[in-house]
Amino acid sequence: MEGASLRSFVFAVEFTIGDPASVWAVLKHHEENLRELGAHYVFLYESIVEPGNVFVVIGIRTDQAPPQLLRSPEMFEWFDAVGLDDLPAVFVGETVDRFDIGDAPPPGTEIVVAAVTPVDDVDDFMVRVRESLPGFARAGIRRTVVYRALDTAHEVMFLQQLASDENALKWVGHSKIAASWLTSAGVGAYPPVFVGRFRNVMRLAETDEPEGL
Amino acid sequence: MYVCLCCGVTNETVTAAVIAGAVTTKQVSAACAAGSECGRCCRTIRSIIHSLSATTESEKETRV
Repeated sequence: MEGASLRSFVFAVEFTIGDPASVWAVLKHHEENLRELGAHYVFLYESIVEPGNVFVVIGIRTDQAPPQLLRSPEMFEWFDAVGLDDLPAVFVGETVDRFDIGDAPPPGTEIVVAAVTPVDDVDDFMVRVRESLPGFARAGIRRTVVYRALDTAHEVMFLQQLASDENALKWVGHSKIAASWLTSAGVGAYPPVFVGRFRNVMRLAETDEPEGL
Repeated sequence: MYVCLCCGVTNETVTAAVIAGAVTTKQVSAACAAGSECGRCCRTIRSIIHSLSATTESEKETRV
C-alpha cells in the first residue's frame, strides 16, 4: 500500500469481557486481517483496577478513511471473535506530541494510564500538558503521548506510562491535573480512565513508531 | 469517538441529536442514523442520552 495518501493513526478501544486472555489469542488469529487493514502494531493492556477490562491500541497506516475501516468486515469479525455484543465507542486519532520524561520502564513492565477527554482547544490543552511536565516527573510518569481525534477538533486521548501501579493509582486518584482531565471519564460514550499493565505487543510491519506507547 | 461503527457516527453527532431533543435510541437513529444498522452501539447511545439528561436535571436543580 504505497502512495501519497497514506495516513497513520491509532484506533483505541476499551472494553470488559469475561476472559481477557482470549483477546490476545483473537488478535493473533486475526493477524492477517489486521495486516489487510494496514495495522503495523497492536498493544494490549489489561486493567489492574477492573477485572476483565482491556485496552487495545492499534497503529494503522492506510489510505482508507477511518469510517471505512471501522465498518469493514474485518473489524466486525474481530469484535465478534472477542465476544462483544455491545460495541464500545472507538477513539481514532493521530499523535500530537510525545514527552519522554526520565528513563522508560523496562519493556513489558510498564503501567499505562489512558483516557479520552473533551477539550475546547487541542493547542491550549498541549500548553497545559507542557506546563505540567515537572508535575508528571514528580508523579513518576515516564512518558506522555497525546493524540488528537480525527473526527472532531474537541477530543484528545492521553496515554501515560509509569513504572509502578502504586504511582499510577496515586496519579489518577489524587492529582488535580488528572482530575481536571478526567471529568468526562466514564460519562456518556467516554470509557472510564484506564489503568493497566502491558500484556502483549504485535509488530506487523517495519515502522519508525516508538518502541512503546 | 466513533459511536456507531456501521454508519461512522461520532459522539459529537449523537450528542447534538440528543441536545436537539432525541430521548430514545430510535429518535437518535432517525436524527443521525446512529444505531440504525446492526444496533450494537445502542448501549453507548443510551449512555449518552442518560448522561445528558442527568446533566440537564442537575442544571435544573442548581437553578432552583
